[in-house]
Parts: sequence; structure tokens; C-alpha cells
Amino acid sequence: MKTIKKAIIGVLAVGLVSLAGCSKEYFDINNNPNQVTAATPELVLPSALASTGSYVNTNFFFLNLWMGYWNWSGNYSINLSDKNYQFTNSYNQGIWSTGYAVLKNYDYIDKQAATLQQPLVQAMGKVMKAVHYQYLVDTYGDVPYSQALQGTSSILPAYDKAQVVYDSLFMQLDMALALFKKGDGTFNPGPNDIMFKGDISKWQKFANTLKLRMLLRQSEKADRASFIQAQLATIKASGYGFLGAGENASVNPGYVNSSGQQNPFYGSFYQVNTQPTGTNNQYKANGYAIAFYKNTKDARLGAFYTPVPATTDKFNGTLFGTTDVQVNSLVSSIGPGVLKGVDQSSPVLPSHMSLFMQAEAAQRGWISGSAKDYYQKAITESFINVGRTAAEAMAYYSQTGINNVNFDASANKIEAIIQQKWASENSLNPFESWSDYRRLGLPADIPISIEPSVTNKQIPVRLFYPQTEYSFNTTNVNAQGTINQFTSKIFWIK
Amino acid sequence: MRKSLIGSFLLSLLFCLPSLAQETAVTGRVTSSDDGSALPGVSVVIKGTSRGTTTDAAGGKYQINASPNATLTFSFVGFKPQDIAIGNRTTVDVVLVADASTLNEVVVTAFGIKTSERQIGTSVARVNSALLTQAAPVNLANGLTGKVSGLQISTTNNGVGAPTAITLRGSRSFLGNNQALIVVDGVISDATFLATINPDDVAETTILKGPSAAALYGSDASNGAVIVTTKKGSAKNVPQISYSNNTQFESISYMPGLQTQYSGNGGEGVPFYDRNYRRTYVPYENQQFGQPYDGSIQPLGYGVEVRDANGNVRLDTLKVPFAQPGKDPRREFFNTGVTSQHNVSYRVGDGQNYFGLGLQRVDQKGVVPNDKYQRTTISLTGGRTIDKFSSNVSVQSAYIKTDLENGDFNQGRPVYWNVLNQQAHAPINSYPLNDINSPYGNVNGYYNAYYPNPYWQITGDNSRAVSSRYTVQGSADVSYQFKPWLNVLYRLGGQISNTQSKSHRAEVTFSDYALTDPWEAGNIASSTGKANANVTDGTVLTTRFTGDLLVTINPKFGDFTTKLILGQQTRQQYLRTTQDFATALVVPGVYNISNRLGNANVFEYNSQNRLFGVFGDLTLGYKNYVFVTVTGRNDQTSLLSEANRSFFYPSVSASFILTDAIPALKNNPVLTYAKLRGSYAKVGQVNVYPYQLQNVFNPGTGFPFGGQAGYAQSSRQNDPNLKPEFTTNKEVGLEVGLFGRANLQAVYYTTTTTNQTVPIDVSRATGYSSALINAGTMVSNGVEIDLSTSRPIGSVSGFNWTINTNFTFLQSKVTELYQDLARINIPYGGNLFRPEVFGAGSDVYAARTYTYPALYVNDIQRVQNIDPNGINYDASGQFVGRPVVSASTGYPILDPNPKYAGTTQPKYRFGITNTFNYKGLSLATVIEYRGGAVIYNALGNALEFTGAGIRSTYGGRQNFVFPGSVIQNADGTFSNNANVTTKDGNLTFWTNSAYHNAGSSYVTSADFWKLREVSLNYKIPTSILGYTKFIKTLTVGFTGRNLIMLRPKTNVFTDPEFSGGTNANDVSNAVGTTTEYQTPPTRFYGFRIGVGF
Repeated sequence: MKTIKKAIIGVLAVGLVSLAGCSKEYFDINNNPNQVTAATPELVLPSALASTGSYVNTNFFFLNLWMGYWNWSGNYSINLSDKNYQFTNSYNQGIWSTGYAVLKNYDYIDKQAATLQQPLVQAMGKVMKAVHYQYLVDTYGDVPYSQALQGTSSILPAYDKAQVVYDSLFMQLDMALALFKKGDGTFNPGPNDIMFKGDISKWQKFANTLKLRMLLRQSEKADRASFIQAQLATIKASGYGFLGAGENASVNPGYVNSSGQQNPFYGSFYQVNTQPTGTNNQYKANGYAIAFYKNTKDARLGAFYTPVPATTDKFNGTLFGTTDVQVNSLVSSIGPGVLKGVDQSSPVLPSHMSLFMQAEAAQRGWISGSAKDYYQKAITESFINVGRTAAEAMAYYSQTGINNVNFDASANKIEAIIQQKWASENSLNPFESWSDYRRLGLPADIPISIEPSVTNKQIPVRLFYPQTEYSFNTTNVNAQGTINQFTSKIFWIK
Repeated sequence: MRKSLIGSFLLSLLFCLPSLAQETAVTGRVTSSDDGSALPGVSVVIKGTSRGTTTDAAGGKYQINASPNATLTFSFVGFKPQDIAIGNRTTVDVVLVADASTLNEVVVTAFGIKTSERQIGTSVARVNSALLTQAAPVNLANGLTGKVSGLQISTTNNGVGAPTAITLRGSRSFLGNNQALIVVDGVISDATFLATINPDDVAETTILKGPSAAALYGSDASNGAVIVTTKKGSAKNVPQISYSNNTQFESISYMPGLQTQYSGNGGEGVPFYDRNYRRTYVPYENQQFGQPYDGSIQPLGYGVEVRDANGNVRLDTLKVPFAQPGKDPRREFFNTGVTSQHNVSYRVGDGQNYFGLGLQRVDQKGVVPNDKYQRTTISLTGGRTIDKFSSNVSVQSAYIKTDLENGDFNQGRPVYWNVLNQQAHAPINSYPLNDINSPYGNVNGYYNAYYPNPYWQITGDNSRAVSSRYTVQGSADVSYQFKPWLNVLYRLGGQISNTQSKSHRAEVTFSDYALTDPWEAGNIASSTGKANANVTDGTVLTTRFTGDLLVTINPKFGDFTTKLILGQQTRQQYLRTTQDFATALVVPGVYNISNRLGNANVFEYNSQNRLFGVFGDLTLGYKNYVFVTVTGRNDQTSLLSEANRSFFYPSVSASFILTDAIPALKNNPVLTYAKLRGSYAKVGQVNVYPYQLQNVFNPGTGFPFGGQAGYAQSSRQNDPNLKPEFTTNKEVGLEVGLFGRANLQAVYYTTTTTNQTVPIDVSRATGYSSALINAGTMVSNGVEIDLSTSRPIGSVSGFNWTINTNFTFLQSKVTELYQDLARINIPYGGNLFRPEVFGAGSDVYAARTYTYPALYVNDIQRVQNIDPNGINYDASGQFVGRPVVSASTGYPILDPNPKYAGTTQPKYRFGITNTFNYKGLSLATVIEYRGGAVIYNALGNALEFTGAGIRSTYGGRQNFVFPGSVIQNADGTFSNNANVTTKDGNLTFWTNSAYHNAGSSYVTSADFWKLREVSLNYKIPTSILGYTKFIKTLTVGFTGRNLIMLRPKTNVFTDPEFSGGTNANDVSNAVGTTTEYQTPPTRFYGFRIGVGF
């Protein structure tokens, strides 16, 4: 019995010794050797900006269909819901999910740069947050804002009113501009700012241009007139102006001909070594846009579209929703002016878009300057941005007597500006065209889908909140009521 | 140390000498009380020593040297042991009385602890070597299938080196590992290693069902354990050499139901409409919605460029009969696979020492042409006992090579899919289509414009995925018997495994003619222009080391017996993977990453974790009929934060031998024995991968771009305060022996797992897509019944019949999730190189209040009477459940919200093994049934889209009234749909209707009966072998596996045991979807020869 006791004590002692031997260091091996757990804001900035470029240029292919730029290939069986506007709440959910994911990164930049006292970097984060929240509001209306981006500490974020978000974004942009001013001489991320290479004056113009875009969105809302005037006064007082000729807000981290490193729009159409992708085979030219460029003798026709295979000058396209499909060998593809190469930059807000907005603002008497001058500069920028020349542009807008081409010959100047703005936003920025169409109904003859199952002869004014919200934020999204894609308008739609 | 070992050896010799001096030879014969027949192989041991012998094969005779005052113990499986004092006799004949009780058998449980059956209060089952290998399985897991209740082994795919999912008692964790812990010779191992073991090397497999039985294993024990003990040496001191050869053939047993009446059409416009707007034959389509076959001769594809001997090019069109060929060419595409196994073993030993050597070579050719699998295993075991000191060493090493096709050049589709996308009349398996160099079979001329020739990807070096795996697992233990009641053992185990994988696909370029798309089809050539080559390299290195200390103390006090085991376990695991790939190469045919175009894509992952556990196991016994075992274990793990890393969990179990305790039950001829048992156990499990406590940043998409770095926040929010999951198990069991012939065991258990570690989906507006948190509870209940005959039930003139049946009922229910979250998706598994990253989402969920795993798919709209404000509300209730069709089109309407479609875990399983013996002839069959589950046949959905599925012809491709449908009237009521037919009963209905888009249309019962094993063996009698002195035994046999499968008629698709997404080797928890990535079901049949020298 005594020996048993001894043995037990002995064993326990061994156990205790080995326990003690298992010091804290033995278990402290849980430090991640694979991923970084801390990153400075200027290291997050390039990735976030690249995501923005990809977001703007590749998330809205369906709008190229809706806005008369592209149509489905006749070689594939396309789901009816992709042709007749009868989509579900799973349709293009990426606009929401990617939007918030990118926002989370800009929010990190904003907060972390504040901690590190890097006002320039912080201001960039704030400006880019405004870019993305505007996309969300313009697509969905009310969205989570004040309670968003807080992870599990606010796991069911409530929705804020769309107009409240808009108003807050103006304040955020003002705060950004103040930070840019205050930050003069402080840390500048330089090349890590893959949009403006640390050129703060461009950031300031960009911020003002974003403000102008949000103001123009509200142009048809009479009750917003005084707000608009107040904001215009602030912009004018700032003295920074807007993005002008040659000033593209576009990103380029250094795209190369390598898998996953191509320009994202280009990469959607070609793999490395120029092997076409499925997307390339599925999206072909739309007959409406082809007719417009052809009828106005627009040199950009060959920039936005390729000739029909085995021809050099024959362009052909079909209308969205057609049942009289044509195979790929008979129609034009997306052209070399927007598929320039693997290393092309991703335009977030191209110079021609800024100039068209200034033209409209001038025409409305919101800003000083000649609307015609802005209009012609904008067309010229558009030509240059798709690889055409200023001379071709001048020849184009100087054609006498053509309505909506020649500014003086145009009956309705706003219509001319929007028509030409539409003609410049083909493929890369269809979101802006859709927004103008929703705001002004221009260009008025954009064909509605001719798919026979279309019952509502109207282009939708919004998307549904995504399925993920209905699954994971049920109460809050249901508080928005039943959403209809034709009638549940964004607040700025008249 | 060495000196003292030698010393103790010498000491033991001294002790032995005096006893030797007084011994005399004792002989005798052992017979059975049943029929007086001689019993060969009976163990005869001098009581109190380890010395002994066995009775011979011929007459049940033995001879042993023993002193007159010694007692001999005679024991034999299926008979009651007997002790007989020798006295002055030199002849001791014994009649052994049959005993169905297994109570006294020794069972190896957790940590190799040897316990007698009667002491066990938990669920432990055993499968012996003969039962395991009767049908010559290549994979040990296949040999266990259907043989034990509670154990489910599913082969999730066919083809070479197919993986198996091994679960005990269903699932406990939503997303964590639910597969049984695998322990080989005391060393914690894994299912992948199990697949490398030569089944012939296995002496016994013990199944520890559930957490109670396995509690001592700690963190992995909640899933139960499969403990494999390999063969040691023979105890007879005569070298045993054996050789066996198994050759098995594998052939397709069931193809999905394929239509053979209609030709190709994929919705082409003019001119592929006839005057009546009927779809006509499109010779280049993969979709099959064209006109019926009529036996005429028709073109297949269009003109292809044919070059004659002079180099002149002309266009020629292949013409074939417009009718289904005699044998379905799609089935004939597949080969008859051949598996040959050679096993050699050498074993020798006596009571104290043993040595064993096993060699195995397996060569398998798959049913997919050119798919190959090779396995070479070497196993070595040895042990030596010198007095109180004993030691065992075992090493198993394996080399496995799999060589599989790697998808086509167009979409990377598996070969099966490209076979299924061929028109029924296309003679794909004969010349010229089966020749990828002929003008009609090459990439330019192959008739099918959308799917490449399936022969391209199986030919030569075009598309291969080759993986080589080298594994060495070894263990060594030393133990010392300090006192008769005190033993100390230390075991060191380790495994190193290295996998090298390389896959590639060849570049394809097309002729100018093909690129111009002469058929205006938008064919592969014109769509892709060219197909880049690609190459992927990867390595995986894993190591696992365990150290176990076991101190066993088992003194006896009067009527009380005690056994106390104190132990400590240290475990360390390491994983390193690297992968690099290129999606375009410069020089064709050089599959090396340095021949890439663009930057290399490279990836590296390392992980390491450590565990330190201490445990105790105390068994108290009273009068050898009541036993209580209490265990406790405390783990510390590196995976959790300092505050949460240490956790304790206890278990208690009891067994009560009623027949020994209650005098009235003793010596009852009907109830031979009865044992009642019960247990409670709690087990902690850490379902967290290393480094999942901190939030991380990953390089942004495409970053770094040269010198431009960029990081993005992970979309997963991690929680630094994660805690372990806990599984609580309660069970009661009854074991009875009936008529001295049969054993019946029945168990009921309930298992609750709380505090699961799950990545829950969150509103994307939080900035994250998921958050890893502790949440959720799952409750499982089950009943397991095993009935087996311990001795033949019929034994008439040498004819024997034994039965072994098992029945399992189990159901797991999700009782709680996070807040009001309704369900969590169960993703497919991550890839080999990113084990910590889940794969794609599946259609199965952990859904609150539903059975786990719950299949959720879209359904078509149906009449309901639950929600008066919802759509299709029928107050009368008379039409509830019936599909609602559009009054104008006759088509059903899609219900956009996914609905629960059933569970994919079989609720009932039944297995029966019958063995018939007559003289040297034995016939064994294993039949298994699984029922109560559903399966989502995504394969069927895909087949109906292409028009190849048989169901698409049930309506004759004509417009039809959707079966059982109703129409909603203007006033909201419903009426029978008598005459509104679908606007189209052909292409539109089968490819674009709500019926097609509703997953529910492809959900069928997953029930099946399978004839798992049939084996017929003949042991050639020694009388015939007599003239050859060196051959001691010779067995020949025929074996078959999965010969017959019976399914409900609605399942015209595939084997419902299959599961997985685009990874054919998926063994994740996302069970229940069949796809074209699994090859068709097969059956195995073959023969074997075994020789013993």
C-alpha cells in the first residue's frame, strides 16, 4: 500500500514537472507566418484604389446592355431574367458586397491615418468613401451608413435615408478638403497613390468634381435648389475648380500581361496571351449605339467596336432582348478604344465625364464659363481617351446642322450634352449614363428590351437589395418595404 | 541503461532455471462439447506464466512441459476458458464448453489500453482481419463498409484513389471536422494515411463509437475513433511466409438515364426550324433538342479539311447513321479498370519476441482511360519482451502515385462531362472520332462545336494531374512492469508525409479554317482563338509527432479490482505548402514554371500547433461484475488565446454483468449473458485553424504589381476570444448472449455539441462577409443494434452459416444558431494547399430546427395554406402542395426563396454479412441499406439542360400539361389545370423554365441497397497439398464489390453515395450533391490466390 502511494505521488510529480515544463512559450506559436496582421494606411491605399477602378469598370456590364451599348451574343442560351428586367435580389449583388468591402478598406485608411496623423492619406480615404457611398445610394437608395463598417460590434446595421447619406458625403468631402489643406507638407503617399501620384491639387479638383456630380444628380428636385446653390458657393470659394482636360481620375497600379495582373476590364475580355474569355464571347455590339455612331459619322465607332469578323469596315449589332439572335461571326465585338491593352488605366472619373458635367452646370448657369466650350472640350477628351485625335473630334462636332452633335445646331442644349455624354461613356462608365437616363430620360430613344416576356416597357430605376441583406440583416432591410425595380425611385429621381 | 537491461535479462534467466528442472512433458487433446470434434488452435498456457502452446491443426493435440503442481489454462474464441491442474497426469484431455459470451475477450481501447470486454461501459466494436479483407478491398475503409453499426463509410467518387469519408454517429460539428479519429498502432493518424495501409497487414480494427469511448484521446475524440492494430509476428516460433495476389476488374455499373431518341439542336434560329417551327437536326450541337432519329444517313458536324497524300486539301463531311448505335458509345468510352495487388508477408515470433514484414504493391488502371494509381507499402514490426521490460517498434511507409486526366482545353471540364455532351448517335468511341489526329477527331474538325473531343484530354500528355505522396509513419514504445500491478509505458509516434503534385494542360492552336467558324456556330476555335497551356506545381509537407506516457496501476483488494491509468500526451503538428502556377507558357510542351508567360503566381502557407494533455482513467471493479470508469482530461492548446487555451472535460461509464450478479440469471440456456452499460462524457474540441484569432490583411487582387505593394483587409472578421466546442454524450447499452450462439447489442445515445466555431455570414454592410464566432448547438440521437452469431447457426455435416447484422438510426438536429440567423451554409472543403480556407458554398446548410445537413434548393411555386397574406394561399386547403402554373404559358413559376428539401444524412442504415462455410469452401456476402436521406443531382440538372437526360423525353418533347398543376383563378381560388399545356415541351421547358431552374426538380431519394461484397474462397485441403512440403495453405477465391445497387426509380442519375462540388475528392461536411466531376458508378469483380509457406 505504501508503495502504491509512493508510485502515485511519483507519477503526479512527473505530471506536474511536465506541466511546468509546458511554459507559456511552448504555446505562444500562434503568430501568423502567412499573412500580415498589421498594415499601414499607405499600404492599403493602392489596393483599395485598384479595387475602385475594377469596381467602376467591371461591375456594371448589365448597364452596358440596358444603356444600348452592348447586347448578348447569339451563341449562348442566356437566362431570360438577364434580358427582361425580371431579375431577383441575387442579381449583381457584387455592387453591394464589393462596395462595402472596398469601403471597409477606405474606412481603415481614414481611421488609421487619423491615428498616425497623416492628414493627406486620411483625406484620400474620405474622398474615396464618398465615391463608393454615392454608387451605393445611386443604386439602392437608403443604405446602411452611420452604423455600417463596424463588424460584429454593429452586426445588424440600420439603414440611413439616401438624402441624409448624400448630405453627409458633402460634409465628408469638406472635411477631406480641410485635411488636404491642413496636411500641406506632411506625409504624402506619393506613388502609393496610384490615382494621382500624390498630386494633392488633383485630389482637390476630384473632390469638387464629385460634389458637382452629386449636385447634378439632384438637378430635377426643386426642393434641393437652395442646397445646390449653397454647395456651389462653397465649391467656388474653394478655388480648386474641377478636373479638366487631360485630368483623368484613373488608377493604374502597374497592370501587366500576367494572370490576375491585367487591367480588370481588359482582363474580363482576354486572358494573358490574348486568349478570349467567356465574357468576350458573350458580350457583343448593340445595334442602337452602332446606328448612332454611324449616323453621326463618329470616328469613335471603330474605337468602341470591332468590325464584323473577316471584314474591315462593316459594323453590326443587335438590340437588347432580341429573339432574332445573330452568331458572333456576324456581329461586332467590343472595340480597341476601350480594350487598348493589358496596361490601360482604369478610369474612375474620366476627364470627359468631368467636362460634360461642367458643360451641363454651365448650361444651367451653376458655374461660370461657356457650355459650348466645355461641351467641345469634353468631346475632344472623349476622342483622345479612346485613342482618337483632337482633330477627329473637331471634325466631328463641327459637322454642320447635326442635332446633338453640333452644339449650336442642337435644339436642346441639355439634351445635346447628355446625348454626347452617353456617347462617351460606352463600355467603361455606363453607370453615369444610367444615372443621367434615370434623372432626365435622356437619350430618350434608348431601346427598351425587346424580349417578348418584357411586360413593363421601362428600364429599371434601381436594383433590389441583395439576398445577403434579406438573409443576414432581415429586420432592417424589410423596414425598407417592398422594393419595385421600376417604381421604387432613388430620392433624386423626379 | 544498457547495462541494467542486460542485467535484468540475466536475472530473468536465473529465475527461470529452478522451475525448468522439475518439468515433465504433458500431452492431450482438446475437443468441443458441441459435437466432440477436435479443436485446433486452442491456446494452452501455464497459468501465471507467459509460456504456452496451441493445439495442432490436425487432431487438436498439444504437448507442453510443465511441473505437476502447475495449472493449465485452455482458452479459445467462442468457448469458455478452463483451468485444469496437472497433478500426476501426463495426459490431460479437455472438453471445452461453447460460450457465446465475448465478455472475457481482450479489447484494445484508447491508447492501446487492454481491457476485458466486461469492463467496458462504452460502445466499442471490433472487426477482425478475416471480415475486413474477405473481398480484397484496396482501401481499408472499404473493407469496413456496412459491417459495424454507427460507422458510415462513403466513397464520394469512383475512379482511382477515390477518397472515403469515415464518420461515426453522424455529425456533431457544423463546419468542423466530423470524421472519425484514426489511430494506427497507438499513433494518431489521419484518413489519408489510412488509405495507404495494406489491409492485409491489419490484425484488428477497433471502433470506438462516440466521445465516451474515445474521451481519452482528447480534442479529436468527439468524433469517435477507428483504431487499427497491425499484425505482429506469429506466436508459434515458426516463420510464416505468405503471398497473395488479388486481381480485380472494374467496370461501369450504371450510367445516368440518357435519351437515345432525339438528335442535336440547341435553339438555333433559321434554318434549324422547319415549316412547323419544329427544331431540326443541328449536326454540330451538344444540346439534344432536335428531331427524332429515323435511321437515315446524316452528316455529323460539317465540312472538315482533309489533306490527301499530295498535300491537297479538300472539304469532307462525316456521314453516320441517324440512329443510336447498338451499344451506347458514351458508356463504351470507359474502359474496364484493372487492379492488381501483390502482398507478401513474413512473420515470425514466439511468446516474447516477434518480427513482421509486409510488402504490398497495388497497380490500378481506372475506368477513365489512362487514369492510373500505384501504391507500394512496406511495413515492419518488431517487439521483444525480456522479463519486465518490453518494447515494440513499427514502421509503415508508403508511396502512392496517382495520374489522372486534368480537364479539357476549353473550359477545363472533366472527361465525364465531355462524354455526356455528345449526341446519342455520334459513334465517339470508334474511328475516326476516337482519333484526335484524324481530321474528324482533331480540335479543328471534331463535330461538336461546343465541347471538345473527350479523347483529347485522355490522350498522351495533353492533360495530366500527377501526384506522388510519400508517407512514413512509425511508432516505438517501451514499457516496464515495475510491479505486477504497476506498468509504465512511453510511446513515441510520428508521421511525415510529403506530397508532390504537378498538373498541366497542353496549348491548343486552331487552323485558320476552324477559326473562321465556317458553320457560323460560334465554335470553340472562333470563341477561344487559342487555348493557353498551363502548369501547376505544388508541395505539401506534413509532420505530426506525439508522445504518450501511460502509467497503469491495477492492484486488487478483496472483491474490488482497480485500475488507474495516468497519462500525458504531447502533440505537435506542422504543415507547409507551396504552390506555383502559370496560366500561359512560352514554348509548347515544356511544363515548367520557368517557361511561363508573365509573372509567376506563387503561394506559401505554414502552420504549426501544439497540444499538451494530461489525463487519468480510473476503473473500479467489484466482484468482476460491476465496473465503473471515470476519466478526466485537461488540454492546453496553442490554437487559442492564453485565457482560453486550457480546458478540462470528464467522463464516467459503468458496466454491470447482470448474469454474473444475479444468481437467478446464472446458467440460463437462453440468456447466456447480459451486460448493462451506460456512460456520460464531455469532450472539448478546437475547430480553429492556426492563426484564426487575429484579423489579417492579404495582398490586394493582383498585388504586388512589380514594386507596387498593396494590402486589403480580409473579408473575414476573426475573434481573439474563440473558445473550444464541447460535445456531451450520454448513452445506455445492453448486450446479451442468446442460446449460446448469438450476441445482441443495443445502444441508445444522445450527443449535444455546443459553442461551435462557425464563420457566420454577416450583412456585407458590416464591412465583412463573415465573422468567425462561437455559436450554435446541435443535438444528435441514435440507436445502434448489432446482432451476430458467435458460433454458426446452422452446422449440419460440415456446413456452417454465420450472420452479422447491424442497424443504425441517427438524426442530428440544429437546435440553435446565432441570434435569429436561420441557417449557415456548409462550404466544400478547401484545397490541399489552402486547408484553412473553405471552398465554394454548397447547397447544404446547418439550418435551425432542421435535421443536419439540410439541403436547401429553389422549388417551383406551390399552393400553401399557412400564410393567408402570402402568395398561392388556398383557404380550402384542397390544393396544398400542388404546383401553380401560369395560365398563359402553362409553365411552373420559380419560388425565389430556397426551401428545405430534406436531409442528406441517411437516417437508417442496415448491414448484413452472411458467411457460409462448407469444408474448405466459404461464401461471404455483405449487403448494406441506407435510407431516409435525399440527394441533389446537379448532374441531372446539367443533363436535362443539354437534352441528354432521359427524363426530358418522358413527355415526348411535346407540349404537355405540367403534372399535378393547378391554375389560380381571378378570384384567388385554384382549379385543376386540365388543358393549359406548356408553351414549349422541348428546349425552352428543359433549359429555361422554372422547372429547370428549381433545384427541387433534381432532388431524389438517396436510398439504396447495395451488394457491397461477395467473396467465394476455397481453401485447398492439405491432403491435396500433401505432396508439396513447402506450401502449407493455398486459397483461391473470387471477389466482387458493389455488384448490385438498387435505387428508387426516380433516381435515374447516379450513385447517391457520391458527393462533392468541382473537387472530385471532396470529403467536407457538404455532403449531398452529385455532379459530373464524379465518374459513373462502377462494380469490381476479380479473383485472388493466397499461398502460405
